[in-house]
Amino acid sequence: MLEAQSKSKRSYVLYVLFIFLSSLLILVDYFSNKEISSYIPKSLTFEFNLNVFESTYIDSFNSLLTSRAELVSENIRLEQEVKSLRALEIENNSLKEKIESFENISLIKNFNNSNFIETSLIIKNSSNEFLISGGTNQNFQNGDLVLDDTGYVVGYLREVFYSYSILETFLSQNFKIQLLDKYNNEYLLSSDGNQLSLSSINILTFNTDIDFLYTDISYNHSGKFPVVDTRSINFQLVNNQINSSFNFSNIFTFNTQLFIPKSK
Amino acid sequence: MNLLYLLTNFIFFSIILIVENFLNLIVFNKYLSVAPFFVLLFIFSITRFNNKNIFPIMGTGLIYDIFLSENYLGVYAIVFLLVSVSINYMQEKLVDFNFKLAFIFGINYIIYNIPNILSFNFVSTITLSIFVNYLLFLLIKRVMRLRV
Repeated sequence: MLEAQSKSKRSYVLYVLFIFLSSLLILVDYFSNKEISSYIPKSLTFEFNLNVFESTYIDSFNSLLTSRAELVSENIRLEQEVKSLRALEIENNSLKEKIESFENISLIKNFNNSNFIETSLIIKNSSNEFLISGGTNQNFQNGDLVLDDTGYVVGYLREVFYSYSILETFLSQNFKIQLLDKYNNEYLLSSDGNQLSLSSINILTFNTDIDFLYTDISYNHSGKFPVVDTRSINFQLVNNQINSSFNFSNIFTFNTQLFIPKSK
Repeated sequence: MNLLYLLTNFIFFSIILIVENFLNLIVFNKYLSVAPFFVLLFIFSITRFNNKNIFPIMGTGLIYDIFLSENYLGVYAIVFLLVSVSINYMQEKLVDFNFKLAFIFGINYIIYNIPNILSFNFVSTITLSIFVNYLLFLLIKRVMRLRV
């Protein structure tokens, strides 16, 4: 009985020692400005470069074929190429139509000024942050905006590693972003994890027809993209100050297509 | 043999932790988080608590800190070790009562979520999550015929 008790205590002692060791790691990481914890994710790649094996035997086989057989196979190949080109043309046209419809809906008037790099959610951690594919390998940077497939901003990149990044969204309590309206009034949008809070920073001209709040390049954002549709929320100017709380309107799910705009 | 045991457990723990995060991405509910890793930690701490588990638990915590969160290195290692000790200590020292296991499960689930305690909807999330994860634990307990 006593032996069992002392063994149990010894176990706890070792556990406590390792807890202290972990505390030491936190201290070291803190004073190294997260150099240690970010070293591996920044240098490690999860991409697999598969070398495609090019067979040289095809050429030797071709030399064995008769000219008729060559012509027949060439014909078939060309026919298939025409079919695939036709399919590409149809796809291209439908994509153009889609872009036009997005331009009409999402208020981003000129898609041509930006490259939209597609990304996807990988994992959601316990702090309600999301890991998305792509990092410094795709030229992502801290603070890059992330849009959903309707063109609305859903968040920004908080930390970028080599092949993945951490996305901060409205669902995270650390979410904060500065915005402008069409009269160049400035706002701060923040989240407590449950509700969004909008407060004005600088009101120049107040009108009720604001409609949308945008990101802006003056805040180092990659362009002017809509974040909040103010037509669906109530707010008023009181003492030259605007304060409002509202629920998230554009909820995305794990299979929502996400895009990171990069100016050309 | 010991090394093999440690490595196997470490890999197993890490996989379950990644599965937990992936499941939460699919569930995508701010009031509910599924925690199979916590359930695993609970089972291990009650039935197989020993020093050999320190390396897998701490290693998994470090993996979480390095790859899956933006915390300082060691935060989740501490949380996982603390939860493990706490579960075993409570199981050993608390007097028996009707809902002792559920009580320990609930308290330690809160400790497990200490890094998110400042979150606005922490209370609502915790309540539902404890219930769902305890059901998951009961299911595993029944399937594995654990004597806890």
